[in-house]
This record gives sequence, structure tokens and C-alpha cells, in this order.
Amino acid sequence: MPNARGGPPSAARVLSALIIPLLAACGGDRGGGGEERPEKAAAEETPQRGGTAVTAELTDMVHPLPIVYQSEMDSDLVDVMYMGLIRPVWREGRLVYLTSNDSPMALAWHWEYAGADSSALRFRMKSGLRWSDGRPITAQDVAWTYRAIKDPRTASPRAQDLAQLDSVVTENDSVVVFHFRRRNPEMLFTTSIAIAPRHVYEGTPLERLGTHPGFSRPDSLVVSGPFRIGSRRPGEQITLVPNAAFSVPPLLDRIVIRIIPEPTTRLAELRTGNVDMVKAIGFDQVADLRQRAPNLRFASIEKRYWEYVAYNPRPGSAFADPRVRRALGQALDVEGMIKGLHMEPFTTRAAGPYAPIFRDLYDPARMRPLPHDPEGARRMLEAAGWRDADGDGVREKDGKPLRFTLVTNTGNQRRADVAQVMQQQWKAVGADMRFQQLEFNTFQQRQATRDFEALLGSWGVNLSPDITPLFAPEAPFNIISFTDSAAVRLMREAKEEETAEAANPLWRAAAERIVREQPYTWLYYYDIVVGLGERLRGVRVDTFGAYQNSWEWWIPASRRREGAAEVADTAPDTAKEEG
Amino acid sequence: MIGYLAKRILGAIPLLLGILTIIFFIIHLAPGDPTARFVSPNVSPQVIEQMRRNLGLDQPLHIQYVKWLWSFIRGDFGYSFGQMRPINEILPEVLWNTVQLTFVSLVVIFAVGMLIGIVQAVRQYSIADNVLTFVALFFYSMPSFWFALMLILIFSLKANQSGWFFQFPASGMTDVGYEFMGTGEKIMDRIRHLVLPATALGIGSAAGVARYMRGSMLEVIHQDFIRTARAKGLSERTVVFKHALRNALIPIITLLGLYLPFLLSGAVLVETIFGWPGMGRAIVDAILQRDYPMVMATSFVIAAIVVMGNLLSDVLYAVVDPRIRTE
Repeated sequence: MPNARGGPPSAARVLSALIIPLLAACGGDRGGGGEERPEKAAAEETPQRGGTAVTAELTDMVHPLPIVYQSEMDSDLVDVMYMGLIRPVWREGRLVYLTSNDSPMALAWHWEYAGADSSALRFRMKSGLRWSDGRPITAQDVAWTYRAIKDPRTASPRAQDLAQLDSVVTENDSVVVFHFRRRNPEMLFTTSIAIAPRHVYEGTPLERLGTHPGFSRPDSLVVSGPFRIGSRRPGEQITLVPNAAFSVPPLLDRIVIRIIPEPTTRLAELRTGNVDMVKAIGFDQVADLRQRAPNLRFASIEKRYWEYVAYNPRPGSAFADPRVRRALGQALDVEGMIKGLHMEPFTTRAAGPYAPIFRDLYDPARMRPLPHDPEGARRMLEAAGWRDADGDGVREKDGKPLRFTLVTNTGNQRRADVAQVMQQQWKAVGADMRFQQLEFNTFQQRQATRDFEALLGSWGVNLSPDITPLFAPEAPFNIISFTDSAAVRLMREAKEEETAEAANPLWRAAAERIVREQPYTWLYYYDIVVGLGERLRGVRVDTFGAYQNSWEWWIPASRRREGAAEVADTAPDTAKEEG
Repeated sequence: MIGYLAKRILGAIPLLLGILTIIFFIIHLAPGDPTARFVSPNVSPQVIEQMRRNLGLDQPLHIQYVKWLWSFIRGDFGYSFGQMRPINEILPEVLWNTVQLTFVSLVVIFAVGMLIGIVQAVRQYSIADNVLTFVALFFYSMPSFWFALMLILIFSLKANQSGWFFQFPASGMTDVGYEFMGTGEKIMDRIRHLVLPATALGIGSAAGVARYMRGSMLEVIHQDFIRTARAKGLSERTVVFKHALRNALIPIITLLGLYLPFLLSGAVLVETIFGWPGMGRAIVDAILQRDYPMVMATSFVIAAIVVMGNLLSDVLYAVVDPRIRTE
């Protein structure tokens, strides 16, 4: 299910597009050369306690609470600071839900279907769990969290995920039962939301949860995960320190999250070793960085995003005819764009709404990317009645030229580059595209009100197969006014199914129908690239993000920074060893 | 003088209110609102509507204006929709951060700029004058963001890779281990973090000041009273610094008044590039997020600083020029 777009605009991004190539020209990094002694190398592969990891993020935190968070920074902090009943992980193309037997981030050791029609889920929580303030984590915390999310007054961005949830009932302090309106494949997904401490927030009116005074004093936030906020300098840095109540003591003494909005500066800090992890590195930077800074490693938050051209098929528009949309898709050499704009290996050619990471939904046999076939595109446009009668290079039909404006948001150099390539390739088949970049809020408003002819954007997809928010006729984000009745029927039937096994074939069939109509030209699925410095070890980056296993991060003692911070970090360790 | 100051300050109140009223309605006319960042296919329109109600955005614009004005008059800037914190808590933080940067930049601007300008005027048409003119124009015409990035690439990245003695941090106000440092180390750490952003912010303006200073000094230095001072047998140092400089300072003081608000609002790019959490970043973030209360609060601060900057210029005129004081 989609949940995000290509990110807000930033003057910094525009600047970085001009400047980043200069980073590569700044010479190679020192270090990395020479042979290491075997015992030193072995010591560097064994997890050790102590040290400070430094990560760089684009924006500061707002309100990292499972009930109200929305920004990416808050989402990462929630991953680090709060546990859920079960821990969702992505394994071999499928969502898997771990209990506390397999993950320290899960509160429940057991779950089972309940009720005569298996429309309820019963969770048994591990005993002895405590919040960072020492209070026990109970089933009442779970029930309150879900009630708060569901309550309309809260205006929680998670509320829609609980559409099928009827009630949450506690049987005792450690057993909680989720009653759904009917059995559905999303039940476990629904129950995997992180839990907030009821005793802290219960007294706050729900409509004011987002402005709880605790967010002004984040070192007082009560958490259940491996780290809590030790200190914060707004706009500059957030220091995470271990939560003593977490079942597995984190290996690191601190994680310092520094707020650095400018991508060039973030990369410079990564290369100088002042920062150990940076997210959202430009695809075109990676090859250069690999060459210039061989000590850096790169990982991907995998292909949950697809970039598209959306067409508005309003009456009288050329895009009302699916042949025109298909022809424009065929005119594009997307593989060439991926190679030419150095987006490999973090992008792959897209064919439809399900990315390849969805093993049960991505069907390359039935959803193939459109071939790059300019000649076929010309023939298709001819067949649709679009001919260049006056020889000016632009096709016409009924006296109207095949001319349209493609809008996108400012601050995204990738989209600007792709739009320029598309403009040339469409021109070659007789379509005249004008390109317009809009300030993000204006772009978003034009998108929401369907006030565009063609639009270049991207969707970030959630891990649910439900694509109705983008394609159901009544959905506000059906920006392409999709109405194909067969696809709509298939999606409705899929939503009625009780199990994923029964629903998935219907979702696949619906996707196939959608792709046949080509309401979008799917360009490519893309990753978020994470750069890791040589010091930081044990980081697992997956489709859920980069902070998934923060308690397992570690830094070899020999690689810790010189200076007061690291001296302070190592001191407790030494004391422990001596003790 | 006190009566004059009070009159000027009182006169500024309707001006500030007028500016803020115009800004209030203009920012509300811009597309989008603070809930835009929550809008996604995964969030239902009902939730967005409730968010708007919770933030009071569902009320008619004139009601929102009256409520804002009433809070403002009582000294309450409200809650930032972007940071979800009281603005009265945010403003002192960002202002203080920017003032630290701006103060050092002002020192760079006026100390370096005036010194270069004086040398150029005293040694008019010499090699030093020509070289300094070239250097000043070079830095004056360089965009501050470009210069900032060049400073990072050379004095942070390249210096680190080459093991230079002088290495400066590329971002932030302090090191990650700041709280573990002793007092002396803390001061040094602060200075190290200030060097690059203050240089990036100040050097272009210093070049500008140098040009003004040169022109102003040249005008004064050829006047009769300077010739008289030299004829009296005064040393060149006394002639330049006591007689010429004081008279040449009046246009430079005007610049001081003009640079103050420019530095606070014009630090946007430098603060973004160096990850400096100051006013510039706060303003831009507030505008992009349609954080109306924050836009109003920061606009008020900027407008007030413009008024105060002009007032300060006028007062300083009187300090350096007895003729103005008498008038």
C-alpha cells in the first residue's frame, strides 16, 4: 500500500546537484591500504562493547511516538525506541512476524487465532518487561495505544491501518485479544504497530498528543526499545543512550544522530570519518565514491519506491486514449536512462505497482516492462489518429497538437534529468512535452486536485498488497482517474478474502489489468542508498530501514575516535572488565 | 536622545503590525497547509481534516488572525506546527545560535574589510591596491553557498585526507563529544566549528566593505584638513587613523545597520550547508512546511531587527559625527 512520495523539496538538494561531483574530484581517501595483522583483523570481526556511532540525517525529530509519528526521522527513532507485540521483518520477499522467542524487539512470546471464525488474534506477552522508567509493560498499554490510534480525535496517520480492527480487549496484564470485523490477511500486520506507554500519555487529551510537553524534553521520553534519548540539541543532534530496561544491552554506548541538511556536507563528513552512516546518497555518487573512498560500504533500503509518469485522462485529453499512453511509454528508453544517469544498481526497470521484492505479488511473466520501441510508438499514435499533417514535428488530431506539460517538484535533480531525457525521446515520436517544476506544496496540491496533464513523481509502497488507495475509483490518490471495472472488481474481491493465499492471485490479476491500461508509465523501482563508514559494524539495512538492529551495532576498539568522547565511552567498559 | 529613541521605537509598532498582517494573509494564500506533509494515500482524508481541526486551521481566516494577534500581543507566539514545540522555546535557541555566527561574521566583515580598504586607500594605485582590489572583487562576486562548499572540500575533506595540521569540522556547532570536554577544550571546539561558517558568511561582505572603505577613505584623504594635519607634522598613523578614518566611517556605519538583518536572514544557505541550527534554517523550514505561527514569529524578529538596525545606525552616526549629535 503506498504511503509516501518522493520527498520534500530542499534548496540544499539543488545546490548539491551542482556541487557533489566536486567531492569526487577532491582526491582519494587515505587509509585502507597495508596488511593487517591476523589477530588485529580477528579482533575487528568480534563484536565489542563501547564506542559512539554517529549517523547523519536530513531532518530533526518532531514527535517520535508510535501513535502520531509521520516523518522519516521519527520513524527511525520509533524503530529504535519502541517495541511492538510482534516484530515484522522482511525475509525472502515476504513479511515474517517474529515473537520474543526470535527478536528482543517483540513483546509477545506467543500469538494464536481466536474466535469461531478466526477473526481475532490473542497475544501472550513476555513477563518482566519494563519501560525505561521502571514501570511494567502490560496489555493495558497495548489496548490504550490501539484505542488512541483508532480514536478520530487523535488524527493518527496510522488510523487507516486499523480500519478492520473492531476492538482490543485485555484478558489480564499479559494477554490481549484483537477482535477484527472479519478475518483478513492483514491482521498480523495491523497488530505489529509499536506500543506507547499508557501511564505517560493517558492524561493528555488525544487531540493534543502530538504536542505533548515530553517532546520538548525528549530525555524524559519513556521507551521500551534498546535506546532512549539521552540529550538533544534541536536542529543539531540527538544523542541516544542505552535503555537499561531493554532485555539485550546494546553494544554501543551512544548513537549520536547529527542533523545535516546538505547532502554534500553529509558525504564530506562520511568520508572524513566524522559520521559513520549516511542515508539517501545519490545513485550517481556511488560509483565515484567506491573508487575514491574504498573504505566506505553501501547498502540498500530495497526497492519500495517506483517512479512514474501519471497521465490525466480527462475528457478531451489525448491521454483519455490508452493507446496514446502506451505509445508514450514505448517511446521511452528507460534502460538507457538508468545506465546514462548512473542509477545502476539501485534501480530496476518497473513494470507495475508491485516491486520485485514482493515475491508473491511481482509476476514478471504477466507484467513485463513496456519495450523501448519508438517505431511501434509511432504506429500506435498513427492508429490513434495522431498524425503530423503540417510537418512541424508535432502530431495533431482534430487540429489539436500532441502537446502537454509534465509537472514535477523542485529540488529533485534525478527527476529533472529524467524529464529532459523523456522530452527528447517523446519529441522523436512527435509529442511535444513542456516541463515545469513546482514548489513542493504547489506540486502536491496540483496532484491532489488532479490539476495536471502529466506528472512525474514516485510512490513509496508499504508492505501490504492493498493497492486500492491508488487505483480504487473513490480513492483520493487515484490521481490517474482509474476506473477499469474488471480491475476494480478484482481488487474488491481480493480485499474480501480471508487469507493471503486466496487474495494474492486476485491482487496479481488486478495489477495485470491495471498495467494493460497503462494509466502510468512505470519507469523504475529504486532503492534508498545507505553509506556506511569503515568503523561501524553489525548494521543490518533492509526494506524496513537502517536502524532495525541498533542494539547489535558495534565499533572495534581499535577504530574508535580519539578524544574525550571515546575516552568517556571506553571508561565504563574497562571498569567492567576489571570488576 | 532618549526622547528621540522612544519616538522612533513607538513609531515602529504600527509598521511592524502592518508588516505582520500582510505576511499573515500572504502565507495563508500560498498553496498547501501544515498538514500537507501528512497527506499520503495511506492517511485518510478524514484524519487530515481532524488534524486541521486540532491545529485550528478549520476556522475562518479572520478568526485565525484575531486569535494569532491576541496571542502575539500577550507575547505568546504559539506552537510551531513543524516542530510541535512552543515557539517561545524555539526562538531563543535559534536566535542565540545565529547571533554567535553573526557576531563572529560581523567581526570578520568589518575588521578585514576596513583594514583592506584603508590599505588600498593609503596606497592608491600601488601593486598592493591592485592585488587587493582583484582579491576583493573575486570574493565579492563568489556566491556564498559555493564558497561554503569549497571551504568544506578544502579545509575539511582535503585537509583530513592529506593530514593537514589545520582541519576544520564541516558541520555542526560542536563535536559529538562536547559534553565530555573541559572548559578550554570546549572553547576551542566552538571556535573550530565557527571558522568555516563565519568565513563563508563574512568574507564576501568583507570584500564589499573594503570597496566602500576604500572609496570613503579616498574621498576624505584628499580633503584640506588632512593636508593641514600632515603640514602640522603629525605622523602618518595619526593622520590616517585619527583624522581620516573617523570621517570616513559614516558610510560604513550605514552598512552595519544594513548588514545586521541581512546576516540574520541571509545566513540561510550557510546555515543549511554547515548544519548550523539558526534562524535562517528555521525560517526556510517554516515556509516550506507552511508552519504559519513560526513564519509569523520569525518574520517579527527579522522585521524588528531591520528597524533596530536602522535605529542603531542613526545612533552611531551621532556618536561619530558631532554635527549630527547637535542637530
